[in-house]
Amino acid sequence: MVTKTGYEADHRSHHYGADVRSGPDAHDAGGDPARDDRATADDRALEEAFGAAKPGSLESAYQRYGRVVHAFARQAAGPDVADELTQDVFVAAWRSATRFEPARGSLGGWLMGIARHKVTDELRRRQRAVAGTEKLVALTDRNEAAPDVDSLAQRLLVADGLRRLRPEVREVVELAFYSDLTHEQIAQTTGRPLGTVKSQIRRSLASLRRHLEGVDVIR
Amino acid sequence: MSSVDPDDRLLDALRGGEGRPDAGRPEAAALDEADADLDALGRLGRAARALSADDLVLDEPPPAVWAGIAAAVEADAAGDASPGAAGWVVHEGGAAREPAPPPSDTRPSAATPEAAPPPSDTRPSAATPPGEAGPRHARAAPARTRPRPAGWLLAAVAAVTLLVVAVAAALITGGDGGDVVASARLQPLQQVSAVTAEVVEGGDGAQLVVPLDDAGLPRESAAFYEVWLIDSNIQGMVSLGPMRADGTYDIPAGVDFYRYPVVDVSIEPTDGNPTHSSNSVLRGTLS
Repeated sequence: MVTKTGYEADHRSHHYGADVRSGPDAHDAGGDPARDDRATADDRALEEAFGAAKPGSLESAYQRYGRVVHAFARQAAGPDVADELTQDVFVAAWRSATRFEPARGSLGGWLMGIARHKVTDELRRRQRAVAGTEKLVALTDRNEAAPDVDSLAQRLLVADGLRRLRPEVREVVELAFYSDLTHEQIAQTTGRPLGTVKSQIRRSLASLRRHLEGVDVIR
Repeated sequence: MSSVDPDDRLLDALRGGEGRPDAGRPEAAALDEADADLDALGRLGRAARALSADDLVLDEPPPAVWAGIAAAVEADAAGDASPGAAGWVVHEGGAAREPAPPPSDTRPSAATPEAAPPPSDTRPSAATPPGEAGPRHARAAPARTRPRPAGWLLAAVAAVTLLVVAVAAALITGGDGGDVVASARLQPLQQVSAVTAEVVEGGDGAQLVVPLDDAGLPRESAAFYEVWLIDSNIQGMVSLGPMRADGTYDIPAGVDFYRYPVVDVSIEPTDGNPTHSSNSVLRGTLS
């Protein structure tokens, strides 16, 4: 990997030995996505370790997702409680680590699902305090998080997923998201083979979707 | 299959279009799955288009955050609540469980045998990219930590702040039956639903209000539910009595719920033994 634009590049460059891939995606059609994309492979390895409550995997999970969870808590509930909520999320996650199922979505999404609950509880509690409501607010449906909280969680996960993509893949995926270009036009614009563009988009979208799916598992 | 290129359909769905002539789809099952896929893609596309500059700002949390997590997890391990044991969800307000005497390492790794073999297998440090938000301080932190170091102190301070705000708000707005001075989210330890407990202080003393009706407690023959306040060490405890229909439990005068912040609901066999059965269904920490 020769690119060093931003910290994304660093995600991939430091383990699993030397980078055998030079050139843009020489062999992606039908390739194993996890093997092709180290960031994904790293995430999957972490998920496996975390789900098995392996030592050190909590710290790895925090290093990987602590900033996203903290940003979510800060934006959704405010800077005063962001630290505390972030702690709650990771402590709760570790206590139920073995209930995490990679098949149902990413670890990042799962953590965000927990974070969403913590934030929602916090917001409710604050609402009660502010309103001076003494008796219990009917906690009829605690899963019904405020829509903007949901949407914030999703946005942060998408941003996280995009950051994980290699710059050249991210370029293609961003054109898929934000332009009206067809695959052919994206291929022309980026100067990459059509097949490469298609498979990069397909694969990246699958991984981004999985990120978002995790957040709903806790519903 | 439809004649439309699946990749094109994917782009259309991502961008919010329809892009799929349903006529071509053979089976209903396949169609449902395709619909779910397209929905998910639409959601993904909307989230991506809604991204704002704020969403991209990720500051590194203060060092105390990781320190607090490590300490809480260490406390768990020392108290034999290893990962997956679940149940003990500590809410705002501090460690629910003081660790047993000698706290070992900060990491979950080395704390107890069931917390696992020596840290050889996973790759915590190696897995952390140099540029990523690594809490390096955590690694640099002393191998021995106090049971409740910075992070939880910070949490406790925050909780007290919240409490003050809550009390102030309650005092300002007044109330018809007393003021909520603390609350706890009681987390299920068994197959029941979480509920929120609140301490209400009024003219006639403090009461704990727990809407156990909402917890979906299974009906027990030969047993009843009992509500307890327990200290953070899970040693001293005060019974507030069997479950009541009105959900309100008097906290005896002289019982300071700051000293007994853990609200616990247990299943008690009708065996005449007045002590806690150790079979809890809900638990949470007041803050």
